[in-house]
Amino acid sequence: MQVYQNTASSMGTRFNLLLPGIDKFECDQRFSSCLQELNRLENMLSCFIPTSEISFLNDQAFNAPIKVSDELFTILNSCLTYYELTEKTFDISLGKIIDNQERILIEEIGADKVLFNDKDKTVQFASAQIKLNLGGFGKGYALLKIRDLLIKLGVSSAFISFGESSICCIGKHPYGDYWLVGIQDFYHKDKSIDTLKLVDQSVSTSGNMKVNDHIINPANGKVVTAKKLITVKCNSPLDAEVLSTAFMIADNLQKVKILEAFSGLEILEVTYNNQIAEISKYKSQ
Amino acid sequence: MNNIKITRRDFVGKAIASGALIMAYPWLKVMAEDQAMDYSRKVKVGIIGVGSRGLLLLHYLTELSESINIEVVAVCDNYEPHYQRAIERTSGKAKAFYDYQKVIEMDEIDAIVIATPLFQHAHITVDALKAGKHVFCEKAMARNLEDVKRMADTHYSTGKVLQIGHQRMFDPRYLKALELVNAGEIGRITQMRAYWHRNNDWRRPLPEGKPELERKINWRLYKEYSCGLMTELASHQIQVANWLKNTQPISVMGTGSINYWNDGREVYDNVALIYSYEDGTKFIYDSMTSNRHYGLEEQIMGDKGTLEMEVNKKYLENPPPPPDPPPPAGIVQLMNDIQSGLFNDAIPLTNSSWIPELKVEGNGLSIAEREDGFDESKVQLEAFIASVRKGVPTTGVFEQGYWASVWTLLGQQAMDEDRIIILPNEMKLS
Repeated sequence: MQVYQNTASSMGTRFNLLLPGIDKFECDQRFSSCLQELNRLENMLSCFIPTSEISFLNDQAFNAPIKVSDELFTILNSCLTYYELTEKTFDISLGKIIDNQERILIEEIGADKVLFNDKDKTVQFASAQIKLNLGGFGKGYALLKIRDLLIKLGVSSAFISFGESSICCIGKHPYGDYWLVGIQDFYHKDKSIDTLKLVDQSVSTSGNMKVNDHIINPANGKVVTAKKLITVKCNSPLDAEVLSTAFMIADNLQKVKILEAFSGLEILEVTYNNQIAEISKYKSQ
Repeated sequence: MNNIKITRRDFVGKAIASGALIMAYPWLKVMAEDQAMDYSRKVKVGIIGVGSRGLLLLHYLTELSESINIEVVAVCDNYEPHYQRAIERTSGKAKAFYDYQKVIEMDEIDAIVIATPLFQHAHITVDALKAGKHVFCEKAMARNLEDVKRMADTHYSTGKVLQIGHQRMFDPRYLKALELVNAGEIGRITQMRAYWHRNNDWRRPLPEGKPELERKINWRLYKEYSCGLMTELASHQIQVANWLKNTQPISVMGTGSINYWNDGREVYDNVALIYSYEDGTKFIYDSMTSNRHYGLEEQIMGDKGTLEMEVNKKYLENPPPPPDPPPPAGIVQLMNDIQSGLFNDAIPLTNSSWIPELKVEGNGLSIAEREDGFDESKVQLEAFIASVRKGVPTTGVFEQGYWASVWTLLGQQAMDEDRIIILPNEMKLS
């Protein structure tokens, strides 16, 4: 069977689209529609782009309520919802801590200090220390948008990957009953820890195994030190993205609450002690 | 064109490969011709002034003696320890003199290399040129403008080669930088900055019990002999600025003082100057001897990019997008499986192993590759000898030294007189 694949750099990593059984011309058009959408999202959501809408908000929103686009307003509202549903483990307000700015009191940050005016569609920060960073959200949201776009364009089977750590599947493998994704042992790459079967589903992995992977705990502003990899499988690529970060941070009680709040989750936690993998699995109803 | 790799023997070949390089640098052309030259005739060289710099030039010329068939047949220095050292270094084969006139009088000599203290450059150069010798003279040309002009006039009237020791003209980083400027890669140059910072007193120790040698050994510190930081350091960077801007300044202002080494010296231990060009471009220069943190650099700023030649870096204002990344290995496997009608392996989920190339741009790109062992100070002597073999000056080489020296001295004058200085009519070249 013919198969199309294309790769581009986007959102600080590589975006890859694989489409089975469709001709190249049609696929190129679809791929370029995806890139256009990714570009649009990056220019709205990236705090590394000085002219992005989120950067404007970060610059101005402590001084006055700032009118934002309907889409960004909805996004920020959903981030607040995630903040609540994840027991405050998913928090987009830690930008200044991520930027390694010192002397930030943990009391001065928190997604609940982002104030919304539903009528005027304005956003304001209740603290000067708030800087929004959608790093743990953007790729999931982008996958959601790309998935919907491709379905609208008539795609019934696709494998969409962001940096090989956030994956969204449409339909199933043309010669199988599902798409198959494998989780390897971080220290022994030839050793498989688990495989996940995906049909119209997504998976996202977060971890702090590499030197530059810093995950901040919003409760204390400190970097999560226990070495682990969290992999979340569920229907929504956005839920998967958000919850893989949240589960890195959550304590046992918070994990229970998160599993209660979201349905259809399959979560794999691999904790490393002296390079030995210890595996825990979680499922929600 | 991104990476010109240049070794000493490779220099000419690589330069020929790039037509643009030849066009921009006539002094490379003479080296290109050097390849086809008749090497059977030995070029004989005399070195006048064998202090630290002169000794280095002697070392290079000795190294080159076989490959380009030259011989140092005379050495000259009026300071006994240097005189003796030069005899040693030439194993007694070169004739040794205290008086430079004796060297110039030697019929067999084709070329004179001058590395005396600054204030002695002019009369030795003029005498040598008039005696029919070709001259390589260390920068800066002279202590005052009259001498600089006299050297130029003699060079033109005798038709003999006069090359001033600005080795950056032969450095791949600078040659490539000029090519990038000419190709418009950094856009219109609107500002240049350069600095040379050291943290030492610049003094050389006197032999025990000989305080009377202070002015002879430490001539750099006395106004009668030297302009200090300007002639010793700034002249190199003024040459680079004029060269890349492809024109001369129209005025200079500046200020200098002795604010740290109050040890009886007369030359400034810190200077700050602004050179202005006709199109409004400024060249901002400073040099000091009480902090070495920033070292030395020339920063060439255009509306599209920046060049820093000392560290061999190029920065673009609007870098081109990085190339598309390769597909992940797992995806390639998946694609092969589907093409073969298979359903096999799981695609590994990883934390991205691929990192975009944006960070490379942040750290700048290399201007040119430089190979170990390349030494532009040595290459400039090869170019000089090539001109000597040809018997005529190479267009544009002397003028680089001339304008560098003129604007070095005008900068000193601006500081000394505390006013804006423009080019005196008598210094114009017809």
